[in-house]
Amino acid sequence: MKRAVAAFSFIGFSLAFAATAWAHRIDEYLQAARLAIAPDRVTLQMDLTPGVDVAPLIFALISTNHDGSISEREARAYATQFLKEVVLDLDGHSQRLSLVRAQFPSFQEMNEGVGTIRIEAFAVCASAPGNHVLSFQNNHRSDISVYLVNALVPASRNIEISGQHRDSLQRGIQLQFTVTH
Amino acid sequence: MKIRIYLAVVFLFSLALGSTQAQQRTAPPDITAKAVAAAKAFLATLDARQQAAVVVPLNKDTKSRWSNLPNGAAGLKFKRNGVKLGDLTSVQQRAALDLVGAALSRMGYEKVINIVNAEEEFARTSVELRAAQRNPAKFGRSEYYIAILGTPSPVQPWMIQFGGHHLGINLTFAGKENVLTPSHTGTQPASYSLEGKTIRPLGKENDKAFALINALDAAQKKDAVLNYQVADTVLGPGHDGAVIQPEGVRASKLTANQQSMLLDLINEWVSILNDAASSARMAEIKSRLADTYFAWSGPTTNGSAAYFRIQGPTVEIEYAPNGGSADHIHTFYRDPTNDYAARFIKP
Repeated sequence: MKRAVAAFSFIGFSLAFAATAWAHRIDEYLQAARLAIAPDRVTLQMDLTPGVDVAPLIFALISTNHDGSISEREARAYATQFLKEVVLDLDGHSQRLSLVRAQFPSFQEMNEGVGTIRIEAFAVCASAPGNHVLSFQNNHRSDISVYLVNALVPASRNIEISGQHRDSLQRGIQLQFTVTH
Repeated sequence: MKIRIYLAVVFLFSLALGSTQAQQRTAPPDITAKAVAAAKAFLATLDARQQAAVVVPLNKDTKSRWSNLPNGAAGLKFKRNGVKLGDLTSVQQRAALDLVGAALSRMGYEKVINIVNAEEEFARTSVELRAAQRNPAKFGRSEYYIAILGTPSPVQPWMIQFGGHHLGINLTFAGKENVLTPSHTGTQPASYSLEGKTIRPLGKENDKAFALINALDAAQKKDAVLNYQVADTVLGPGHDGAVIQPEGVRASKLTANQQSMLLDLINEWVSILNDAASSARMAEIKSRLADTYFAWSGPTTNGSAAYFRIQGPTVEIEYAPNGGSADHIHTFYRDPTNDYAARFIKP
């Protein structure tokens, strides 16, 4: 049977009036975190997307010499500062996050609200067999931010996440997990 | 945190699905062969330059090149595969849409067209708003791209991509297997008028989800409703391969009727694909239903802006009101075991 094709042509005007809204993230800094638990480490992946109105503020924090671009040194400095403002604890012990990579968009992309900063870091922390609690808290620019935080399903079959508890804004998460042999 | 909402009173235009509304049909035994024929017919309408633009290699980079964002707003380095409808003649557009429809169900094809028409509606009613915002994005039906990834074949893997703002149809063919994941549907506005009828491109998804959450008893709802806000989607474009820890109420704790409601809700995404492939896909999802979760964030009164997620061993669905508005919806549909037909394609 021949497939019918929908025509896109206008057939006339509706006389109806209606209100429509254009909702668009503009004045928020979206910070999305993903945590991956492995037997010997925890990896943090961050996607940071400033909205149009806050992009100049964030860009100014990064491009400290204000030359309109982000140098490698400036990128590393911002990513390092970001990592100082997140807290990662395993069983109550603070874990040091080491930067793996940081990828930055152009000012133009950020200025249009479509630029995402990607930061990846890891903490070396071997988890012995048994029950554990991993806590993560993001304290970076809480004045302008909205948050997402999620745990990735562990790649190792020896690790099972049994519980996850977030605060109401998703700035932080507490993960209960079990390691087996 | 406030979200800035722009309001305007606008004319609504009527857009036609056309006199050739997708017809009821019986699924042919081999949809892939039909799609191959439609691809060849489409390519035959194009000149050499257009063909070269439409047909791109099938690889990791090209197949993941899709977005929920309009053209010009998805990053300076992002460009959709293929050619846009606005650069095609009416005959070429018709052939392109024949190709898009070749492997979809009647309902799925109508949903695609309703989303495109919603976009046209938005484009025509938001000109002043966008100018005031200095928004560089391009809106409207002419901004939808069609691409063929690989060589159309009844045996070898290839893909059709059809996408633009609020739409990312990724159809992978691997022999007779047809796979729709990952795909994206969305809409703004959520409701508009067409030939005197109210069109809600994602209305069934919305209504069935609210019906399900309100069919849960207190204990089930306690599991299902998350105690935190969800500001955006988690599994959108750029997150191929990511599988997050599931949350919400487990389907094994639902009654038979509630499980049917959940399957019916999932079917809104699955049945975009042709009947034969979607029936097999639903059987697969049903076989793992006990390990499938339904999670909700936000109010439970229909019409409210609420987020929900369905997650099982072979299915991930997210439905999110963008910017806290029930009039602007993004959804993503994935299969963590078989996005881009990974299970059916030998590396």
